[in-house]
Amino acid sequence: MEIKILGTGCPKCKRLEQLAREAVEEAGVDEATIIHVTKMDEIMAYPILSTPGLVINEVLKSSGRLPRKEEIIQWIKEAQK
Amino acid sequence: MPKYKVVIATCYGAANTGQLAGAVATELVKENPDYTLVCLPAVAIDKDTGLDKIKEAERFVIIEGCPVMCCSKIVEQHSGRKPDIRVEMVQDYGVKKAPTLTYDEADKERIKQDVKRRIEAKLTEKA
Amino acid sequence: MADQRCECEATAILVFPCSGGSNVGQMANAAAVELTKRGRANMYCLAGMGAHISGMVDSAAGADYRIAIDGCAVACARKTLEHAGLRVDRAVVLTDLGIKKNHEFAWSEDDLQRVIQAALEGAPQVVQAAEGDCGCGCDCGCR
Repeated sequence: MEIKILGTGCPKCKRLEQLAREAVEEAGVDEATIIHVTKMDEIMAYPILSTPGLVINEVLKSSGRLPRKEEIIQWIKEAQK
Repeated sequence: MPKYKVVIATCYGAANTGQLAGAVATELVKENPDYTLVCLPAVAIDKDTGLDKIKEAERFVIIEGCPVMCCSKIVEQHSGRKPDIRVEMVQDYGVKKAPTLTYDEADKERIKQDVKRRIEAKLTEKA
Repeated sequence: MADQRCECEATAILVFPCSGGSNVGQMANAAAVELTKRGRANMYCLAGMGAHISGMVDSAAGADYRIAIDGCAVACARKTLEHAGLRVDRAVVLTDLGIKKNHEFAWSEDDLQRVIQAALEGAPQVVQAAEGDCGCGCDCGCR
């Protein structure tokens, strides 16, 4: 599973990365890579509203907000199916 | 005899590529009396006039802004007609998508010329 | 997606124009572009809502306030948003403002300003960022 955090590096983006790491652990996923995408043209490949953005296996899950950890866990579980 | 010669559906999204696609489509329609726009959100809500326009087009063109391809997805879900021509700003014309609503006029001109050329070529082909 | 900013900006006000194939549809688009330029709202992709692209609908749902600007009474933008399960906080219809629909793609500046005013009626205030600072105090240096 590949999780991407889209953001130019502000504290909210860092917080999202932290939430994603915790969510991966709590969801009990063994194989997950978390990548922080900071380059604008790579960020713009996804249809985001604004940063921070969360992408799981190349699918945008949310942008422009900090999702709750429970939401991220739910998306991770859905991605595992 | 189809009611419309050329019907164009376009993205008009919230980035330079979306606004560029929209501008290309709008200018093509302004400059060619045989070309007409179909309102994309009308297709999305199954409006009969929108669906009819696509059905009754001799040639149907989709102008996408970016690789997300929202236009094609909406048309596929609601109309089912495959476009005769489909172009997309990033992959076909090398436009770099950016978080701004403005676009390069030179890009618009060259893309417009190319789409016009493709449409005219399609029109001379047998159905 | 216009004017990239980080999440610490307060009050996400989104504007969705119908951008339809007539003068009123194009005016709706122009009004939304102007609102975004002025920093009063953020345009987002109506087509993404129409195609029910999950991450995009989720992003729109996360905003505080959504404005639909429709050219005519068919109200495609408002209906598209509602169909995607999104609450529409302000719905403007240009023909209701007395603007006649035609296929000329031209309009007066006065009419455009009226549309913009109508869209902003009742909208919450946006926190305007000071130059070089998004104003949320998070010291992240984003604009």
